[in-house]
Amino acid sequence: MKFDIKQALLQAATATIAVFAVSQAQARAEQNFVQDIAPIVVKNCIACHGERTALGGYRMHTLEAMMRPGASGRSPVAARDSEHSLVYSRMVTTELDKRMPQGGEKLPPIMVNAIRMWINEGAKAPGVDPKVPLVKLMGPRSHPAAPATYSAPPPLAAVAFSLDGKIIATGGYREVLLWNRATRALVKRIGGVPERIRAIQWLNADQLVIAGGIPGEYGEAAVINVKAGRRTGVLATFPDVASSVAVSPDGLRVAAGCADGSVICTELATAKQIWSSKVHADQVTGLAFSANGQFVASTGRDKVVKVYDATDGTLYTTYNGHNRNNGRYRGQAPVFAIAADGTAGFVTVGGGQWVQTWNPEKAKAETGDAGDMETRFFTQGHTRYAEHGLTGDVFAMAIVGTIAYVAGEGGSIQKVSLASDEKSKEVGSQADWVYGLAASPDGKWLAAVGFKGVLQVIPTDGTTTGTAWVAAPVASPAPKQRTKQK
Amino acid sequence: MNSALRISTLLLTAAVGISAVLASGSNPKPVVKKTDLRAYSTNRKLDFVQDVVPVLTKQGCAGGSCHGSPQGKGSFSLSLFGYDPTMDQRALTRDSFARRIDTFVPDASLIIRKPMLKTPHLGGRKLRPTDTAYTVLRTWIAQGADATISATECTKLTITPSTSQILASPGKQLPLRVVAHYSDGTSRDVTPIATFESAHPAVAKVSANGLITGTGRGQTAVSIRYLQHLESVPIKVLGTVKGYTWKPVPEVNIVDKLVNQTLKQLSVTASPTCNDATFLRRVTLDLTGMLPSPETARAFATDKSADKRKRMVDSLLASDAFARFWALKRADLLRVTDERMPHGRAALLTKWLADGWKTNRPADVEAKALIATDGDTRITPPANYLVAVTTPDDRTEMTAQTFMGTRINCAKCHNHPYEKWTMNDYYSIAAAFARTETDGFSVTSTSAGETKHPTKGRIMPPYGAAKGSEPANRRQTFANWLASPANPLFARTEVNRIWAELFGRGIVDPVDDFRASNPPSNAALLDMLAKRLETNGFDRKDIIRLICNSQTYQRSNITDAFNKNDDALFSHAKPRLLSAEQLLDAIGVVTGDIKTDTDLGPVLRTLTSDIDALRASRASGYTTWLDGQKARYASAAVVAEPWQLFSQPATSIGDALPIKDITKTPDSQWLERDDVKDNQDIRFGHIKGGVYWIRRVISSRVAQTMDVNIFPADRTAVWVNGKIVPRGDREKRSLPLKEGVNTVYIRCDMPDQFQPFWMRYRDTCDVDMSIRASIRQNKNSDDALLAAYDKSDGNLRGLLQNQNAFLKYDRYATQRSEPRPTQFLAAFGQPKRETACACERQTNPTLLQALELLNGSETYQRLGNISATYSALDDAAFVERIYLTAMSRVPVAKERDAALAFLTKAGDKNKGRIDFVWALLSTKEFLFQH
Repeated sequence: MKFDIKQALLQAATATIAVFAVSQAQARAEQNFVQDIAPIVVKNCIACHGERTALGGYRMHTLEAMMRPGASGRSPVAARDSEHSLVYSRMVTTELDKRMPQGGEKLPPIMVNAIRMWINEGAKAPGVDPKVPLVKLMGPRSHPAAPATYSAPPPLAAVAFSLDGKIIATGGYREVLLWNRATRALVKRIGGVPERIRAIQWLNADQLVIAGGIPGEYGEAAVINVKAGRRTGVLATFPDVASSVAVSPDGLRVAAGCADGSVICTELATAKQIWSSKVHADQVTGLAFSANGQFVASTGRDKVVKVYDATDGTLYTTYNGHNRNNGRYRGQAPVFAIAADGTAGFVTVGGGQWVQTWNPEKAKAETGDAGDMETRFFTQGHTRYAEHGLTGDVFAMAIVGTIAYVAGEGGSIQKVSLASDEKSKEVGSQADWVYGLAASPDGKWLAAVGFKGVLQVIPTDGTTTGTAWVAAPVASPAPKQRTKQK
Repeated sequence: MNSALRISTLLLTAAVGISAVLASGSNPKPVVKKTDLRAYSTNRKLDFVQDVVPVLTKQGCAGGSCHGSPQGKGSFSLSLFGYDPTMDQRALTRDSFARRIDTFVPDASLIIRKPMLKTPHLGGRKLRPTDTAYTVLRTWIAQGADATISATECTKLTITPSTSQILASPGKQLPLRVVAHYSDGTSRDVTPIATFESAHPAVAKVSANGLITGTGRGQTAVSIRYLQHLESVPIKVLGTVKGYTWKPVPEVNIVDKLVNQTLKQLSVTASPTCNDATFLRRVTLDLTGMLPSPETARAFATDKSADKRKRMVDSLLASDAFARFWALKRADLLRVTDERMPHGRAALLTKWLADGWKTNRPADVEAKALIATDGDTRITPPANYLVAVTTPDDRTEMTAQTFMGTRINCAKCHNHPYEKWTMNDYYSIAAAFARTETDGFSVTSTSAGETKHPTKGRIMPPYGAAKGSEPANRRQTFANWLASPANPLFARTEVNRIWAELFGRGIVDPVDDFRASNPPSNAALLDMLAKRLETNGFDRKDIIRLICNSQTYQRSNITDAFNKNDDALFSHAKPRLLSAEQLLDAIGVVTGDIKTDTDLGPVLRTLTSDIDALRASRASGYTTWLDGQKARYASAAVVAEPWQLFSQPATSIGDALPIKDITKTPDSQWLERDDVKDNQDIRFGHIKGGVYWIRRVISSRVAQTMDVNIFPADRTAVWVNGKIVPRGDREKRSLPLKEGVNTVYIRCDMPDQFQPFWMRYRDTCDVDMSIRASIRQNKNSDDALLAAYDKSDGNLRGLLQNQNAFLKYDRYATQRSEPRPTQFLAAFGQPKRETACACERQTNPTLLQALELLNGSETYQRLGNISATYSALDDAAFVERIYLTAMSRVPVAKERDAALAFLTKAGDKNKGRIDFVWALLSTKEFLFQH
């Protein structure tokens, strides 16, 4: 599978009639804007002249915005007249307090010249949708190499067992790390990925999908080939860290969620976007397809779970079980983790005291037609609430049959029965926050990672409390490594 | 900066005048002991709490409008000004999957990129490479971003210099040095990471490194914050004023001496004493809310005795009008309204307050009664204070604002950002109210009930009690501390409120915002008055008398170049627009719409004799009437008894008792609410939101279906004789009544505490609810029956109402016991009594006010009385009388001539007179108290 940004842009462009007249020369100009100009603007300008922060009333996050005058009313880009284009003249002015980027170093001549030439050539960007953010136009980034050794273990959020349960993949800094579960050896380092990895899913024995990015700047969902040891395709890009990824039960589609509140669903084989949606008011924290493939649901820091129709992304319903003012199970809490349950249902957990198992269709009926308030006060709907016994936010969950393993702020990993009233039980713990949990496909092993950068492997049969080691290529042996099997 | 603006900022500002510094009169050099100090340096392992948290405050990140707000900003939430380092540790290092810190590339950390605008940041640029804060953050991250919260705490802050400072002229500079002392015995110079703020940058500004520079003459305070320590250094900036000399004015008492001291120091002159007419109008309006009568004005003008002003103050202070008017002011603050209290209690409490002013009830006695009283609100009026303020939080905030002049509400969620009030204080005060129960009608103390600290979870000891001991009565113990010299704010707040009533501005202003960063404009004056109140047995009239007799109070509003811009040092009188109530009454009196006491004598006598005559003529009909009532009661098809409220509300449906248990509860658990009429709202708001059971016994002569409307239909469930009654159309329910006694139970789920409940139905018993109890008990004569008999006659009812209104001074807005809002009063700023803040009374002039005066129906209606009121007077006498009434003086020759010429020329005599009065009512001399 190979993904080519140029090809994608051309594909998008063919949708418009104008494109039929695109000449060879214009095609080059188009490349010029996307490849030469947009990166300069994104790196140096949009922090102050962006979509939300618009100093001087001027925005540069899209081509359309770049062309619109700011508060001064003067033309930012006057085609073929760089001297009368504010964008250029403010970069070269000798008045230091006015020179852009304000309060920063002057841009190198090669960049200044690129801007000047682009304007003087007519400030053209044929085929570019003027409303699409420049960040999007630029497509996936290539990433610097990972450091050879780390000075300290970074916080870890992503962890996943291979299909045979023998290899554990964790996120590193600008890399994905593969560990042998039994020997604890670092099997492989796969670089060329974003600096933070927030989620990992194995597609098959050779391929992973990952979600990650650079906080506040960039995010991507990408396919990694384990054998080749590199990124082989990018499924979606985002303006902030991609926080979660889920694969449809038929293995054909991948959905990814982002810290900016958006979700994008992509066809795995072609990397073509099927739908995108931005209905969360805060970060998306987790994603899952329902077992029957009918729904995609995303959990959010905004205390709700959004359920989408998996085929076109329309919002099916909003589950408010984590945000209730009344009744026995009341409380308002962010939601952090989600998994499929039954055929159409989901299991979710976050702040609050319960792991909640629910069904989108019934949730819709409950919130949709509230004819009888009386009834609603007495019944708390269809949701099953299983108390997990933890205090503080719960960030991670792994499901084995009708058992949910959950962990979060306290570091304690709890085994919660979803089917019976059995009291939850601690199966292991870490010294600090746990961000990620995974169960091996055969359900025999549990892996946990968290703030301290330690990978902990626990057998689910309770025979031992497992092993733990620093899951990073740290220069000198860290003291944590001494925590061993008992 | 021009001199006018400079003086104005000078006078706007305030200072704590420490006399030692005042006496020195020079610019003292800061003394810094260098021996025990280490200069601030980042070449060491930085500490999260000691180094990083203060920097977040300094750069503004943790401010109340940014990430320090309760919801944070952009999912990033810090504790306000770093009051909770654990929360900051969580937010910086762990929250959002540790996205904000990058120990591999420290400069790539979100907490550095965002404020430096390398990544879009809605808050703008907050960090520059040259800032110490940048070095601190970067170094801390490079060192591994260790956010361990060490056990070492900052115990004290030493500011050098620490006392009040004087800068000889604008442009002079003064460096501040801030040293933090830690619990491990070390100390460090933290000047570069402390936060500095000047209350009035137009007087003195302060740099990020604590260098103060005088910018204009005046008084300000520079506050210094480091972690939870807040200190304040008062600054005066002096300067010579060309041509200024102090012109001596009489110094009658200590008030004048202290006021003049400050005036001289800041080169401000004092205005001379005002004339008799101005004084009389001013003091009468201030003390009684009403204009002096024309007779008083004339007599005062001709009185030649030297002590006439003193005697006038004494006689006004002794009047009922004074007591009623000052009760209104306090009732504003205590939120005395019928909406918050059971029917009629607002008037009772207002009357109790007025009695207090009349009998000169000591301030501490009054405060203790309001806070500590138990009992039925009908019998013990001050208990209504706690009935009106239902939650412990509200009680804490109201009490602090009313009696301590402190806005403590910030400390509910975090330590107070501008004052030393902490959450511990807040919840300790709340704990003092924890063992208090109100059912809407009475206040009782209980032996159980605790308040928990919301974040630390521990049970708070009640404020004012000795450490570790449980007082017999928490509220009483707290009240005893509150209203005593042990609480320095009580007397200060009380005298400051009095001062503000008499001058239009407090010595501390706003009057209920005492804090280090809002110092008094004359500290010595405030100290003296507070001390005097504490030592005179909390005698408030003594304070009012002292102030009213001072030359300062009696100053003219005429100014010269050296005091015209002063509005905080009391160098001259400040004209004030009459308050809403004062103005409405003044217009009423001038136009003759309100009958004055002089007019009233004969009217009241006539009324009383009419009432007596009518009663005598009806006396023989009483027995027949009573028999009729009894017969009606006996024959009614349906008789509903008063509402009963179950005394234990639940917080949610889940907690509420089920119906089967409710039907078994003994009668003692039900409170009878005979004051709630049918078709009237029951407001459970007197208590709090929750689930309530109410019950009503309805006797029916035959088995029948009674249709009633019950609101809100979707939040109520109804049972008759144990069987649930389904909901009908909208609010309708059909109650199946059996022959005999039926019991109706209603469960109301009222999450909103102000949601009203009502039941509407046609009571076929036309016997007034007020006498049903008497009839049931087969009484032949009691107060209720006699009153009902009186009321059954329309004429007598009207006469009694008139008599009552006259006796209660109901016709005066400044004198009546309830606000009775009108459009006119609202336009002129009558408060709705919704908060404990004195600021609720609006004093700014508005366009609406001009319209009310020029075109408002309330003004116009009153003007219609003029011809009748003054028909006996010829034009000359009419003009003089109007001037005397409206302005408390006779017209000067020019005014008289112009008025007479106008009236002579007018075609229609009445219209001419109306126009003349209307014009006079629009003059500043009338509208203002000057």
